[in-house]
Amino acid sequence: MSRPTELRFEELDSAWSRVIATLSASRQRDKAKSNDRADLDVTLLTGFLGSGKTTILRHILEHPNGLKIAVVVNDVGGIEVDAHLVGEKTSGRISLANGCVCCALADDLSHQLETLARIGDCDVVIIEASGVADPISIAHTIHETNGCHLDGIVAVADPISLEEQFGNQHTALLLRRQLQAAHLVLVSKADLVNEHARQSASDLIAEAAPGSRILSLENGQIDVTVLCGAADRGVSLTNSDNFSNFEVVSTVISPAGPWDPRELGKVLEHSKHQLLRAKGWFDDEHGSRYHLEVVGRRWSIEQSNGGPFQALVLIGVNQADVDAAAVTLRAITKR
Amino acid sequence: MDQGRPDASAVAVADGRIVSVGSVESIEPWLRRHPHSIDDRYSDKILMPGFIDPHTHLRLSGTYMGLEYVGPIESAAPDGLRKGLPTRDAVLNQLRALAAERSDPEIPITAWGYDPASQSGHLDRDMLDQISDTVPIWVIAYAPHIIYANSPMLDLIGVDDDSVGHGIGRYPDGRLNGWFVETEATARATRPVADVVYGPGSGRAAIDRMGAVAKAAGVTTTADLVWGMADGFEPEWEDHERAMAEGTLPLRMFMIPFEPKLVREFGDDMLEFLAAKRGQGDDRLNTHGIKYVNDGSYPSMTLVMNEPGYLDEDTAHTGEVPWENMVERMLPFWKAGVQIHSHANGDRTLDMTLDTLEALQRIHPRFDHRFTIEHYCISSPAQAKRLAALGGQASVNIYFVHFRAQLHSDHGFGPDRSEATARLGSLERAGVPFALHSDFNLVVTPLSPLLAAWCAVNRIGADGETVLAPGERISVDRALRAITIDAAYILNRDDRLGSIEVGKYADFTILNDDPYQVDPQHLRDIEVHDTVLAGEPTN
Repeated sequence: MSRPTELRFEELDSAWSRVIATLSASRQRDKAKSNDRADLDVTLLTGFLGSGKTTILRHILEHPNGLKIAVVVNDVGGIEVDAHLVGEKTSGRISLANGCVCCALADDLSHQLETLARIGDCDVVIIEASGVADPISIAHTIHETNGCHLDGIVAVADPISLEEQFGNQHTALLLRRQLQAAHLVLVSKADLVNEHARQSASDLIAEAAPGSRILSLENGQIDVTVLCGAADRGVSLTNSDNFSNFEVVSTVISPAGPWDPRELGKVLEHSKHQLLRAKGWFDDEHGSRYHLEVVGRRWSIEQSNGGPFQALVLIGVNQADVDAAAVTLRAITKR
Repeated sequence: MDQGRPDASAVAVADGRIVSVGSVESIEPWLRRHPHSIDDRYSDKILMPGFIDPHTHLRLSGTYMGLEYVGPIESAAPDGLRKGLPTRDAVLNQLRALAAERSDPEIPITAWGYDPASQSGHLDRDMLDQISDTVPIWVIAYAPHIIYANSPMLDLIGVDDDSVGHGIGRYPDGRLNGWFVETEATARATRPVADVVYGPGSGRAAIDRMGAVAKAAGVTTTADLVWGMADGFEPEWEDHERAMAEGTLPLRMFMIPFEPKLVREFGDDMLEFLAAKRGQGDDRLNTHGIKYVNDGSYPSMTLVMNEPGYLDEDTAHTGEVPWENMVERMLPFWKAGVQIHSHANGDRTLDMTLDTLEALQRIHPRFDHRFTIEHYCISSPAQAKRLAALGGQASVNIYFVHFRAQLHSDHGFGPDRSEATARLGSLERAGVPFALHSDFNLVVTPLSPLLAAWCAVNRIGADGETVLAPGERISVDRALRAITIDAAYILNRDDRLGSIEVGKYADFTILNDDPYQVDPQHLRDIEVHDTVLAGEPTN
């Protein structure tokens, strides 16, 4: 069969779905939606079939570091968490002994998220978006759902098949869109490839999505504070001895500010900082308090009704990145 | 479409109903007894029973119709094909024309589909200000996700040079350039537009707009299959009621409640609510049945399939009601005789639905229940036979055969299931009653019963030549029945609608050519001249 117009038609169709999703998401927003940080943090995890999403989720569910994590996935059975952890189990939901839960993605995501936020028995949510889903549409739905806060979009890339995926016109389009939408990119399977392959994967990602913050993982080992918006919930980085091959570093700026939020915004928009995450509160010169959040490329500054402390946690892949970012941020005060 | 008396040249109508059908001579016994006049305005036209699209979402989808298309390639928009615009200049000219005819500067011009890659570069604030510095302009790009705004639109969004936010674009001098990228920024830029698109009165405006589209396609009766879901049962009902009272919706409309919403809102009183609404409704607007949504959609590849499943990743979604609760959830409606309309796109979902129907039959056996599978996209011949055995029926989305099936042959479903999308031939051979619907909609396919019939008869793919699953084609007569009398049967109104028969409502679709005479390959080209609702021409 010949399919002369397939790619464009497909693109058009997905563009239309995005428009609809964007508009519908805005309409679901309750006008009274507050900037209250008590909103449930939702992380969107994207990546192709076989990229390593499930391994990462399994690792996170088995090492939640005290957080109650709700993981929303297409196939609950596919996660295969350690049998010792599994508690109550139905076709659509698995409850774990450590307080985490794994549930099936419903057709009405907004309703599902609202329910999770209302019941309030989880600290953070991670949604596994299937490989073919458009991350932006889902991100809009999350962003505009009452009681929920889009923490970040995290893409998982498989260094072994990345080049092939870029070579296929169907997958290339989606892959590029996933990487461009992502705030953090995790390169999985670092234990299965050599340094050269890791580097060429990073190059391909940087070419498709310039400015990406990229982190290599082995065996899906990632700290929950990097994947989720947990750094301001009293959760600190796990002692990295637990996972021999995973390491990130953090530093704290305290007190943070006083900074002019507009100046800070400009710095974050234009600086090439390599932070994976930053989170915390700062004051401006008039004593108003703001909440700052950085997830890779993404940042947000919102006026806050008073955070618990005036400090900022910075998380990066290595000490040099974190120190450089800290220097840049501290310099704002002096302007 | 009265199979016993297939041809007629005259129809007598009184009080919105058909009194007699035949020729001016044959209906003479009626004419002799009553004062009458003969109206021959359609003497050179073809009178068909009014077309019925038994599954649409006019109010929901109509709100998007205010969006102008400015993309680079031809698009099958809901109201017909829209031409592609090759360059940025062509887009700017189109926007200029729209701005010139915009009388109310409060209402933004909203456009979608711009492609900076193929339409020679991005738009920006200064460029759009040259088109209008009074009418707000909002353009959302094709890919990546960028919104462009002019100065009045920036005011409406509520941003200025001092605004703080990721993804709010600036010129090198720090001035806003009218770009919004990334989720927060695009969401922020979209809110004022969503407020217009979905604001007070938007539901009513949508019904009027979409009602006109349906009418132009020859539709005289349709059903809203997610009544209550968007804005609640009463507001949605009232919008339709007003549109009919004010003469802007020339259709009969059945409101089919979305079950999870009905259960959430009314709990144990749900059946009482439906009974009260039935009493309040009439032959133009009424409630009917109950609707379940149990998997995802065909174009988004979220339907649930049996083995061997998807070519690549399984991306299926399930509905809100868990399968383990389905029998219990459907049982009150089943027992009360409320007709069940259950959405099933994938063959796995279809199996689960048939299992549920079988369980309902074991618990409380019923005849003539008209349990309807909605969409029936991917199925097997065996499932058609099982559906027949259980007394069910199908309302089928046939448009995908033409618009999507070839695409999904090596993307999602694989060639076997893609080619055999919407197996009407199997349904016919199994003796299952079926209708054709548009699900008019959130996907880019048109609403046109004649186009649906064309798809069903020819099954020609998007390449314009390949016949997909030829054994699933049906005859012209069967296809025309599936948009008239059989569609009335699906809605359990075949006693009052769907054919030109004595005692039925005088609803007609007036065509310029005879669908039984034209080359079946040209069915979709037949022009709809007018419709008649309860004896009154709607033009």
